[in-house]
Amino acid sequence: MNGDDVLAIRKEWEQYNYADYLPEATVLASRDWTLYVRAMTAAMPRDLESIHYPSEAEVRWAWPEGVVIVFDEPLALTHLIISRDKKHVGTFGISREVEDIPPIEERQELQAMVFGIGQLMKTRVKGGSTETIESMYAIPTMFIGVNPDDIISGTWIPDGDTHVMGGHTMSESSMFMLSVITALGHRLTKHVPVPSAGRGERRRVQRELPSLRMLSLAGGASVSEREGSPQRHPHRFRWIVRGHWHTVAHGPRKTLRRLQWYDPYIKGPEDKPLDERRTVWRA
Amino acid sequence: MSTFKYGDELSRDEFYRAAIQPDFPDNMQFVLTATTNFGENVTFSQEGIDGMVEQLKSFIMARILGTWHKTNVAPHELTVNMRLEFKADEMEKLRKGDWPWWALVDEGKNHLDGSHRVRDERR
Repeated sequence: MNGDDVLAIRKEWEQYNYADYLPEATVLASRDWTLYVRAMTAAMPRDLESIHYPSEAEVRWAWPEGVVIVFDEPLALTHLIISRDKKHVGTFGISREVEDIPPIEERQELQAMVFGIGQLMKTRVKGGSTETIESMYAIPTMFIGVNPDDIISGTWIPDGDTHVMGGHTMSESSMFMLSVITALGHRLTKHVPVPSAGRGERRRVQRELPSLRMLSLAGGASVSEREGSPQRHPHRFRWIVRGHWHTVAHGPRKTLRRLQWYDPYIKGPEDKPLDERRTVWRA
Repeated sequence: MSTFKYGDELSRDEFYRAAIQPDFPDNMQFVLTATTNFGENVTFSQEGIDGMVEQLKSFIMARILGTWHKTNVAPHELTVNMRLEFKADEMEKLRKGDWPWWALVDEGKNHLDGSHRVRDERR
C-alpha cells in the first residue's frame, strides 16, 4: 500500500456518516509492525480478569486530536459484541439508540483503527437501556472493516480498568487495542515516510494528508549491558529475548496490577556471536 | 430579518396572520434546533424538518397573499431567492462527549469489556 492507496481509502470513508469523526492524523501500519503487535496480543495471558489500560503519559500518547491507523494488510480480529444499533437509525444515519444483546464473539476483517479525542463519555449500566448520568474519561475507538459499512466501536479508558464480561474471556480486540496503544509509543516503533511511486504521488499526499507516516519496526533489538548470572554451561551464542509482558504492581501501596510490555533485547556473553535465527512473529 | 424557530409558542395560524401583513419582512430565517437533552436524539428529527418545510411553504403563500392584499392585483410571477446555510457544530459537540456510542459499566460502575457493532446484517 502506498500514499495514494491511503488517500483512496480515506476518500471512500468520506461517504459515510462517521466521516466527521475521523481525525486528520493518519498512519499506515506496515506489515511487520502489525505482525509485531499481533505477536504482543498473542503473548498476553489468556485468563485475564481485567485489563488495566495505561495512561496517555505512560505510553507517550502523541495524538490528543486522535489518529487513524490504516493497516497495510487487513487482518481478522475477534470482538465481543455487546450492543447494536436499534433498527431505526435516525434521520442522518447515526443512531443514538443502542440495545444490549447477549455478548457474542464476532470476527471482523479489519482495515483501520481510529482513536478519537479524549472526552467525558456517557456510560450505560449493563442490562439497562438508558445511559447513566455518570460519565467517564475515555478515548473513543472505532474499528473500520474492509467494507467501510462495518463499524465497531469501543473505548480506551486511560489509567482505568476494563473488566471481563461474565462468562467470557477478555476479547481479542481489547487485547489488540492494548498492544497497539503500547506499541505506538515504544522505542521499536519508527515513523518513516510512506513509500510512494513518484513525485506526483508524494505531492498529492503532502497536499491532502500532510501528516501521513508509516509505522515500521526499528531494525535490531536493543542491547542489554547486563552481566549474565552464573551459569552451569557457558553460552556459545548471544540470543534475542523476545518481547514479553510482565505483571507490574502499581497504585496505592502497590495494590493494583497492570501488564507492561518489555521490548525484545539481546542477552548472553558479549564476545560470542549472535544466534541469528530469525524470530518469526506468528499472528 | 425575522427569526422563526420551530417549536416556539407560535401557532401556524398566528404565524400566517403575521406573515400576511404587507410590511412583514421578506427575509426570514428559519432555525431548527435539535434537543439538547442529554441522552435523547441529538440530531434533527424528521418531524422537525417537516415542520420547517411546512413553515417555508406557509411563508411563501403568506407573502403571495400579503402582496395581493397590498397591491390589489393578483401576483402572476413569483421569484424566491433562497440562501441556504447549514450550520452544524459536530466537532464542538464531539469534544463535549456527544459521540454516538457509550461505554458500558456494571452496577459498580466498572467498565466492561465489549464493543458495539453498528450493523447486524454482515459478518
